[in-house]
Amino acid sequence: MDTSAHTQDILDMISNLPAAPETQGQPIAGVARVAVPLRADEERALRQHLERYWGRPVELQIEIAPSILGGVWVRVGDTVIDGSVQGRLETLRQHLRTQARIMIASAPLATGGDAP
Amino acid sequence: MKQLGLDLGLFLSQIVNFGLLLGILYVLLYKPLLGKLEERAKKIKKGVDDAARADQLRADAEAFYQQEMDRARHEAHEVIERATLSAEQQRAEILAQARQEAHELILRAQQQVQREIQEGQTLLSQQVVDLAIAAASRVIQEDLDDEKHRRLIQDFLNEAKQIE
Repeated sequence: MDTSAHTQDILDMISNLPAAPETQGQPIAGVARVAVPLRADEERALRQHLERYWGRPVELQIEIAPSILGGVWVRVGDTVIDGSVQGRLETLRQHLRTQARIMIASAPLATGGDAP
Repeated sequence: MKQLGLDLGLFLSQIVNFGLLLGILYVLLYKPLLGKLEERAKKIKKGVDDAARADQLRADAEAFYQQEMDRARHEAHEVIERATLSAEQQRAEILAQARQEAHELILRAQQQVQREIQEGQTLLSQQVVDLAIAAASRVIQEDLDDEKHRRLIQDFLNEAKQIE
């Protein structure tokens, strides 16, 4: 899997996030999903990053979800940041499906001969 | 006269009688008979004239009949020619239309077959992609140990740090 491309996708996604709300100080709810439990320092770093970005406390609920395979999936408010392996595979699936559709649509098909 | 043995008086009376007889015969017999003969001749002449007129009329009628028959034959021939031409044109039009419809039918069938082939190929390719992704998921899941999980989480935190 191309990690640098995926990193760029995440950066693009994050850079398109809406500006932080003006309601400073009020906590906002969020969910983080990971495949394996976070260590204390990882959890602390994650909360700090999110709170620094949002500029207010984030009431983060951490869930263990083996289905994401690896990485971190976060939703804060209406915003989702998908840094999971499952998300990368899903992106790859969509890309491959699109490429296959384009190839099939552009491939010439044999005809049964000229009509009169 | 006596020397000839003729009696003049008798001779004269006989002449007179003969004249009278001729007059009577002329009036009573000759004149009516002549009239009858003239009447008969007129009738015969009229009959001959009528027969000639009838013959002329018959000839005229026959000529008219022949002329009408020729005209009818000519018109019938033209009608048949026009009908034949029209039928030929209609046959050609129907044939061309049938060919066009058959061509369009074949074209539509070919397009339908092409669409179905493409749909089948698309479905098959998507199933292949799904299978490949499922296999990749299984391999990745088996391959990810704790160290790799930690690295993935750290990568995410580093990326999040970059955007602060």
